[in-house]
Amino acid sequence: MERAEEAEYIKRAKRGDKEAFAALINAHKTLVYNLALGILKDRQEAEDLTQEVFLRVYENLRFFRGESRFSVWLSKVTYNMALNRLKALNRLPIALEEENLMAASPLNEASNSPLAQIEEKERRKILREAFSRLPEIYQLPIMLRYIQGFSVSEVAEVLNLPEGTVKTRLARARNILKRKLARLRPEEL
Amino acid sequence: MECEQFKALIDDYLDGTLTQAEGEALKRHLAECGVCREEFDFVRMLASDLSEATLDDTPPRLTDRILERLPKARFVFPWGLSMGEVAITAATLIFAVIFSFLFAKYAPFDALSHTLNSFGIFTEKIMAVGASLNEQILALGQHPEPLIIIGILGLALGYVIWTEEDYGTNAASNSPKSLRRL
Repeated sequence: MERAEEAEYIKRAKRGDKEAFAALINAHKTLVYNLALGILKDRQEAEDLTQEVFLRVYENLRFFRGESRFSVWLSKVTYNMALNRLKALNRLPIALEEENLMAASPLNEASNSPLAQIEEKERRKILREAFSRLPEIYQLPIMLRYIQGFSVSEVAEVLNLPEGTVKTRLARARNILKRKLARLRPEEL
Repeated sequence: MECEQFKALIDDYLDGTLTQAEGEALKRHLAECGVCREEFDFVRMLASDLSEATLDDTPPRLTDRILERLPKARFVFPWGLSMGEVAITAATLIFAVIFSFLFAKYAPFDALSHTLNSFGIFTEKIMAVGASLNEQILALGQHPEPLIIIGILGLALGYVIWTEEDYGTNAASNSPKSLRRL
């Protein structure tokens, strides 16, 4: 959805136009659902949360002033609500897992990835599979940065992290993906 | 600068947030360093290979289910003001009027016009207007009881609606006040 078109839908939805709000839901539900799924790891919980996010956004749409992109605002609401849900479910906050993950994923391992030798179609398949298996602290920044096209500062805003931490996580995530691409074929994943 | 530092600049470069000097330095390094060049190509490849198709599909009828749960009809005032905000504003205005009645007993408009006149700013005619305005407000303020009751009811109604509009959240990070910041 183009930004100008989106701004028009937002304007109409602020006045209570449900058709316009439906267009906004359709444009962003994949982002919201997958962010929720990435954190909650449960499809039913992710669906419930997606519904709650859009209901809350509808109620509070008048507070959206367009100072950041709508998708960034929406992602931030989703992220905060998913973390609250995680706490309500008494599950471990994701940030605590980082050190253990890094012990198992040495950063500076040389990559011998012959990326150019892997067929594009096969490479995408491996990459998508590898992405789906990334630990969530790396999956979320990768998703926001490379799938949603957010800038580093926007990712930092959504995840409430310093930009330096986002860059570090992106670098580590890339390293993990690169190693998987170098070593594995789809059937081995 | 070392390779790790150059790698850290790649995201900034793609966001267009590097200074010209940093961008030039990165380009020169990429031309010379195969490892960093590979990292750069990998970042660009990620951006092209990963897409929404990588993500899980949303459950069927998700949009319909959300729409079914939206509040039935919502009246929105100009500038996006909600019913609660309008009720609180109206109540505040009513109280402002009531207080101006009470204050008018001390003849502020009369006193003000006299003061201004002593500085030669206004004429006798303006003084007469000030005195007349004062009298009218005093007359209106003879029976302020209904206005006080309406004001109290307006504040109570506004408060109830406003708390409902908080949408049942008790999490500070998700309250409308924090949403305002974005």
